[in-house]
Amino acid sequence: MIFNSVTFLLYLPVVVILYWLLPQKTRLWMLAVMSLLFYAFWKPQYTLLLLFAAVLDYYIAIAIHRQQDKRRRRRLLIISLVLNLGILFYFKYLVFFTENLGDVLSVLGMQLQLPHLEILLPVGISFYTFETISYTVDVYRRHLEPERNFISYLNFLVYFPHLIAGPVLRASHILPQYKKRLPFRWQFINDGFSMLVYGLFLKVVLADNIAPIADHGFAMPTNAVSALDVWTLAFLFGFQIYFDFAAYSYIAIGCARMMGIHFHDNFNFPYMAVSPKAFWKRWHISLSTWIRDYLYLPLAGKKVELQKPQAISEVQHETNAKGYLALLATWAIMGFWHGANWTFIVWGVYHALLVAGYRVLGHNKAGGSRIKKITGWCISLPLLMLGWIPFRSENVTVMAAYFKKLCIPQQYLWLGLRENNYLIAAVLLLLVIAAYLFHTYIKPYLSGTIWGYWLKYVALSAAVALVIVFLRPVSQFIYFQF
Amino acid sequence: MRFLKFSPVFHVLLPIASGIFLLYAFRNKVGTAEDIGLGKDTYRYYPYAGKYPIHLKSPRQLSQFTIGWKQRGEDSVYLWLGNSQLHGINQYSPGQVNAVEALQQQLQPYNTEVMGASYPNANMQELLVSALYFVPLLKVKALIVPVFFDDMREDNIRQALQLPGVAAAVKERRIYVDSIQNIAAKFLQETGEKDDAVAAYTTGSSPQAVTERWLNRTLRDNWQIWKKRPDYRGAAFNFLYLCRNQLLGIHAGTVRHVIPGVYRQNYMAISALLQFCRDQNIPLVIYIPPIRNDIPLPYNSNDYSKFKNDIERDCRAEGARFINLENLLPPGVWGSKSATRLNGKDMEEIDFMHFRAQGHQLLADTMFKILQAVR
Repeated sequence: MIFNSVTFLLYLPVVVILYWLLPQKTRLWMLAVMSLLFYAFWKPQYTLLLLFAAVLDYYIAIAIHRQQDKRRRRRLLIISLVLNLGILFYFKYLVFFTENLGDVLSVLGMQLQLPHLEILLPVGISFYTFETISYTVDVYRRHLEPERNFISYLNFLVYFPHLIAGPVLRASHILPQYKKRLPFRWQFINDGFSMLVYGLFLKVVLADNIAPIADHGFAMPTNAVSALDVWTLAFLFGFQIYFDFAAYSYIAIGCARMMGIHFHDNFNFPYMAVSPKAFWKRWHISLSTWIRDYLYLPLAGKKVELQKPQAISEVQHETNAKGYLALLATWAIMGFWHGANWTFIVWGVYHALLVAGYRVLGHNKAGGSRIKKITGWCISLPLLMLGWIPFRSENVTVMAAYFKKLCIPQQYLWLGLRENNYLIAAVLLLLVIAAYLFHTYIKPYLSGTIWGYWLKYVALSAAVALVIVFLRPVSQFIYFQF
Repeated sequence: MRFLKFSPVFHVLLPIASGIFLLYAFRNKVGTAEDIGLGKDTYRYYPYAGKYPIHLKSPRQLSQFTIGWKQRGEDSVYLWLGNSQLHGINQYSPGQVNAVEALQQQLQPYNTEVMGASYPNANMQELLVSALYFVPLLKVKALIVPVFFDDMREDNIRQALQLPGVAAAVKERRIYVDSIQNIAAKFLQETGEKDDAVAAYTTGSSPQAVTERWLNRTLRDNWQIWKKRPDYRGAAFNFLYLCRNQLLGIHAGTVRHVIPGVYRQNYMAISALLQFCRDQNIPLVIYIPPIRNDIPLPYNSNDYSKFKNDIERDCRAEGARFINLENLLPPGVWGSKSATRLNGKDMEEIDFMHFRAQGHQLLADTMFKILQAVR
């Protein structure tokens, strides 16, 4: 089921009402069944795959916990990793590998008739695979006791708000919340509703209306766009993906909030980051912390401690070759996680180079003067936006053509898009800045005052009207495909 | 204060009620998206022969045209494509007709028909898509296509004409790789499916699609606001458009320049259309449309001259008939429209695109003579 649909807007109140009415044990059953139903609305058959992943790690985690022998514990962990990553590989990467293998063999002069594969990617597989892996690894590291109640564990994995596109949850944060029955408070509904409407507004009013403009620009032949167009398209897609993905996170957090369940924030004005390092403390925070704990630290050979709510960029980094290699490998894998295409790997490496460059230049200390921050933002924002070019490009050839344009001065002397596109990109940038300034400097003063309540009421009313007008499941969330 | 802080009435129910109330409050103020674009002084006129349309506003109406066409004897057809100039009549009075109907009346004695198809701001890629679709399904005697400088700046293929096969083929100029018939068949099928506003994720047989389709249909049939949602969206975009014009001082007379990338795309479509008609052996009449010329044109003069020269040159090279009709209409047949600004309702500005019924008659007369020469 997709959030931006009428179906979901009918489904949600039913689940929330049942959740608060039912006794503890029954409500967990109801939540699990309704979450599976939510998933089955897309392709019912793939629900079995999801259940398989859940059952597998539920039992393996218990077995790991019981086992005292280190080698056997490790063996069990490897079985879990191989099965989970094997399923992910089959559905997400097999076609990519087959195609590339074919290309490599033909370069070597060998003609091998490889089968043409058409495999439909189950939605959310990248997310729930990461979650189940983190659970098993945490149990292996003895950071977490395995969950004995299967329904609780199942809810950790399949809980519908985060099931398809995150935030990437940690068992240690969620499982205790299922056990503790909070008393009903209207505050939960109020807060959750605001986040839901805000998320829907970002998705159906902003992201869905920027999408055709960005899509159209990227569909144009590369010889029909100039360097300024490439910059504009990078900004347009940057805003589209931000609104789209942040929308999903806000809706997810809002839905969970209505049931008194707390998810950590996943976005915090990422485009106001003053450095590439700061960007990853503000963008897809749940994934960046996951990557830190389960990929970067092991690769860098560092001891993994119990999770702290900090991003990969906050870890004390090794500034030796091993540290940089770990950084590069981590980001390449993170890129590849987003999609089976070389363009995503380039995107990951691009960000690794930005972070490494920032580290080399010695600007990894927090703080600094306001002028330094503004300068940092002015430099970082275009670089970060440019990162969306490989992410959005159809293939490496197109991506290279875009980057080549950026290096040719003559390509800055003409414009290939409609004037409105430049205007829209500029207006969106101003809107994001204005929203940040309002959030940082004005909202704290209004909070708790009668003006604050009325302003919120007016904004919510307008947002509800716009959501009704623009709500169309014309496009899924971008992160559904990852 | 406590009420404001915790009450679900204030935080949930009241905003929902107010949001819906806002939509009801504006329901009589939103017109259809195209009416907003044309302005109140220009009337959309799509003529009929009996019960059946002879001028289509969407390719989906083709089946209705075909029924009438078959009943009338399946005569060969002049296919006249265009933008809102073809269906818009400025200062319309009942009984007046547009150029398509005027031409149809003149062609009656010759066992020949005319079918019009026009869409607001239709660019050349869209007209090519339409030609690719219509030609294999009708006995086309000649194709008439205006090339507007304004529309060389438009670059989307609208959803009603949008389908992967044709659109991608046009974009990549691969139109001869796939057979035209296949494209047309696919076009018919996919356009039919995509016409619904909630297309992509409500088609198919997944539980999501089935439920969503049913819910949307139920809401549309039972709630006026839901039915009017496309008009609300049109009004919202129009508001942004008016704000832009207001802030940047843009008006009907503001000089337009060529947008190189978009121009290139549309020019490729013209080239493809020329090739297509040559290969299919269909006479093609391309004309530079009438424009009000007693006042300075809203075009960059160098760009506009080059545009006309390029098209004339290529038409000659490909054996198409090129006619420049920009000076066809006298100033008296042109009209005005409400200014496209926030406070523009009571202000008038010149309409460079749409003319009165007399202009349509003159255009039809001229086209009749041209077609006689083509025949």
